[in-house]
Amino acid sequence: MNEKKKKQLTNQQKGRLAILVTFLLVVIALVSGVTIGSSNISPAAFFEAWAKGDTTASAYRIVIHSRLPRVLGALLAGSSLAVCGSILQAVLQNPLASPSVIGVNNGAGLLVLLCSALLPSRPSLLPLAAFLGALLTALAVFALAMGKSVSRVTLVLTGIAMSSILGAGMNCIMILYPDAYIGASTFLVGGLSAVTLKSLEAPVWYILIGLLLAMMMRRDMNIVSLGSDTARSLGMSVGRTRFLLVFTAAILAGAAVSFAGLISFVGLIIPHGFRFLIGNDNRYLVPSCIFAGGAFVILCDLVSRTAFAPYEVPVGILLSFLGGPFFIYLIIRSRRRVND
Amino acid sequence: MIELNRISFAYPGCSPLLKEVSVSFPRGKITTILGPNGCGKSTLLKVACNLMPATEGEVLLEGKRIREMKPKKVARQVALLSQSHQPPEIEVADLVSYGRFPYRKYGQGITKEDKRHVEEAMERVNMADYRHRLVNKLSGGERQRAYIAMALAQDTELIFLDEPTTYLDIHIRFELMELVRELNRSGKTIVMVLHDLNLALEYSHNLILMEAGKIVTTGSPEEIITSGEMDRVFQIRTKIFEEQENTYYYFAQKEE
Repeated sequence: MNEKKKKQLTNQQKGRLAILVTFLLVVIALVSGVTIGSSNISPAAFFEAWAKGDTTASAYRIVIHSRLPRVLGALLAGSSLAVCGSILQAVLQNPLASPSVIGVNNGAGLLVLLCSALLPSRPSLLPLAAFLGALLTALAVFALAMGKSVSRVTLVLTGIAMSSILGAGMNCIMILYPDAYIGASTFLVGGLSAVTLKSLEAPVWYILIGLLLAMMMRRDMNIVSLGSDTARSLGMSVGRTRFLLVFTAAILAGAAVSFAGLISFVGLIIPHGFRFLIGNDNRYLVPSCIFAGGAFVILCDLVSRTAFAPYEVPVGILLSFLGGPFFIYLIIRSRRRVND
Repeated sequence: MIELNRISFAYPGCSPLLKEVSVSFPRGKITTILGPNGCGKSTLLKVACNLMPATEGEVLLEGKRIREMKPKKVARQVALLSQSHQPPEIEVADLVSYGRFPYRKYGQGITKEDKRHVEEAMERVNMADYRHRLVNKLSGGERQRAYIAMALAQDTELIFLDEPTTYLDIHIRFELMELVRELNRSGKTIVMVLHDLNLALEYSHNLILMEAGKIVTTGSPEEIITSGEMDRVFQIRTKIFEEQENTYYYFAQKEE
């Protein structure tokens, strides 16, 4: 019995192990994402071309111009959306919250399309526009969530209604400005086929800053999760901390949406999966989400571009097929807990 | 120590929950706030430690206006165990370590000094063997002890407890009150809200009786009982039994 007890890992040990495993997973996903595709490329072939400076070699061209931007885009989008989800769940104290469920992604998407329509010559402004859209939506949901009588499910239903309104706004823009955004249909479901290294230049800074802020505030997320009264009694400025966390979530969601479109459910699946495995300690949850979110989207994108070859399905569709049933399961579980 | 001067509190657009309350909590004693539901007991605790700023009047902590003090500085002097917790799915040792938050610099992890306080706090409430247990899997009494350990890790002289015995079995209530008494004997000033009159009378040095947002009377348990105010406020009648130097109280419904 005692021996059995000794073998059980503590949450801290599980957390550290999860960070290590997810880091290895992201490395494997990166290598797989770059080498596997319609034509498989061996790392040796690429490095040979790279060492020789042979920029015309097909291995070099495919990796640099097609696979690498896409894999880096998947890594950045997956990491940022997974961390954004874990932040929103902690701040709203609602396990059903995620950037796609409560409308934050749609808020970012609306301003991306609006910016593309009104300022077509300024693509560098897209991440900023997406951030503002995400922030305004997140603050609106946040203000609603602070109402005492708002249940978890009511908050989610309001988020879904808000997503519909913002979605209608996006459709209006696409009807009024049909040429505003090239690949608008992929944008609406979320996809990485149009990602270039150039298109990642601005969002990468937003995401790095967002992830850094999330790492710095992961202990504060634990205190916030204890509830307002306890957090205040420990000397935390709860309002300011919550605003900073929502601000960080908006930076992350906005930057991801600006180049990958409305990718759904990553912010729900990854934090929940790791809460189940390692518990709710954000010291370990946030770094695990950074690596696991990135690895998850890279691998999903790999499946979506190879499973139906020569056709390609936007990764957002695959994620919706996975995330939709998972979300329904969470709602049923949440209602069951309330009834219990 | 904490002193409340003519404190009023109301939520915007609502009638006041506290009306010109003036009171202080004697150092080194156990003070219990009593009163019927909705009379403002928990509000008084929250206003006293600046969780909810008073609408009128001022709260002084060691002679300084509490609303002008930084939250972390207040938290180094006053710990509050609030009424309801959504028990988190974290280990006991981690929960207790959150009590060191007021001493933490931004972005800093847990220091050796913090670890020492966390260990001591867990030892004092007999929770050291539970360090790796999840808080949401503990029984009600164990959970309260874990939260008290968090308050102890805060290393404050003053501890506020808001209904710490609610929903606990009777023998666990006594265990918890014995722990409170032990903490008081080790130098902590305790201020608590209780619903259980027996526990309040047995374990308190000083009682504050409230009704409709106002303080009716304060004094020792004997003074409060003999004043008859407790019977009036709770609409009960109290009988006192003395047996071998111990005093027991029996509460019955007031006769029409």
